[in-house]
Amino acid sequence: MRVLLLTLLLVCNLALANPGSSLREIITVVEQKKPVASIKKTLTKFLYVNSIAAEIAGRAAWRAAESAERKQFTTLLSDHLLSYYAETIKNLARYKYSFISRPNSKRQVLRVNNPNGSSTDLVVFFQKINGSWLIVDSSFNGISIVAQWRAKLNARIKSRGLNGIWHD
Amino acid sequence: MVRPRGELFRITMFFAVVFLAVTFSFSFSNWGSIFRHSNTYELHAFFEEIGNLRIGSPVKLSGVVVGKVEKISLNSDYQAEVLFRIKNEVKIPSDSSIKVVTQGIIGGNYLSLTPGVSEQALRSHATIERSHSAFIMENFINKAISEFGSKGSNK
Repeated sequence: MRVLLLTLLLVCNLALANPGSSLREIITVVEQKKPVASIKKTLTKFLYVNSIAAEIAGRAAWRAAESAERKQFTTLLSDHLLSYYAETIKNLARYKYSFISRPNSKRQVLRVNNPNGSSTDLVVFFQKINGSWLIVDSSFNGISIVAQWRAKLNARIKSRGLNGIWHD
Repeated sequence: MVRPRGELFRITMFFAVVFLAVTFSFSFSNWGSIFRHSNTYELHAFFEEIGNLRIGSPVKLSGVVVGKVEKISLNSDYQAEVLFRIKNEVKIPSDSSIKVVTQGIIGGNYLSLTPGVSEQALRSHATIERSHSAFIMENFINKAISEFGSKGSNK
């Protein structure tokens, strides 16, 4: 009976899981004004670091790198990324915002209202990986976070290689 | 059997008229587009803001023109749906992203593709999920003024 109930719960959870519910789970932690460490912990569940790392490295560098190099790059980048995302979304608590996308949309748009009455869209891009909806990028005011990081690291990756950027 | 000269003339004229009619029809109707489209494929993207993007705006990859915008419409979620066509020889990885870019201060906008790392290419009629809206200078200025104002009032 317990097994049946657990299976039923799992099936219901999977059926209800969608990009909107994933984003709401993250935002709930922000609304509760929990510390950055808690936001990071929640984000660990939802950030698809493998995909983001590949995007940041860029197609040429990623394809040229060995599997071990890719893994090391992803591992080292992971903590930086989680901290950056956590620090960024923590600021949302200062603003009023509304969810404007349908829960099943892969592009979740959060409309953030500025104090002067204008608004800015935070778009969070989701991809379904092994049954879970994970974040692969996000953009604020049309500027992608992945693109920003790629622009920041591109020259260093080109001159020093994928993992050369960590030796400063 | 030898056909009389008059009949031969009429048959030749008939085929000439048919040829001209078909050519005319291809030039001034959508038929021609079927053939023009045969060397391109169709992709879609959705944006919250497209700025000055227009039908015919170029689609670029690494600055190289690889296609053009064919149709712009509004979907039920009030997003701009952009249909664009890409040359057949250009394969776009399935995890690629796209953004609306402004050509200088007074220039028009164009679509810029950033290739992903996937080995799988997008098929015709696919949607590029990672689409980034146009950067609107007015929004940026408003935001800067608002932040400057709030900093000033905090002093």
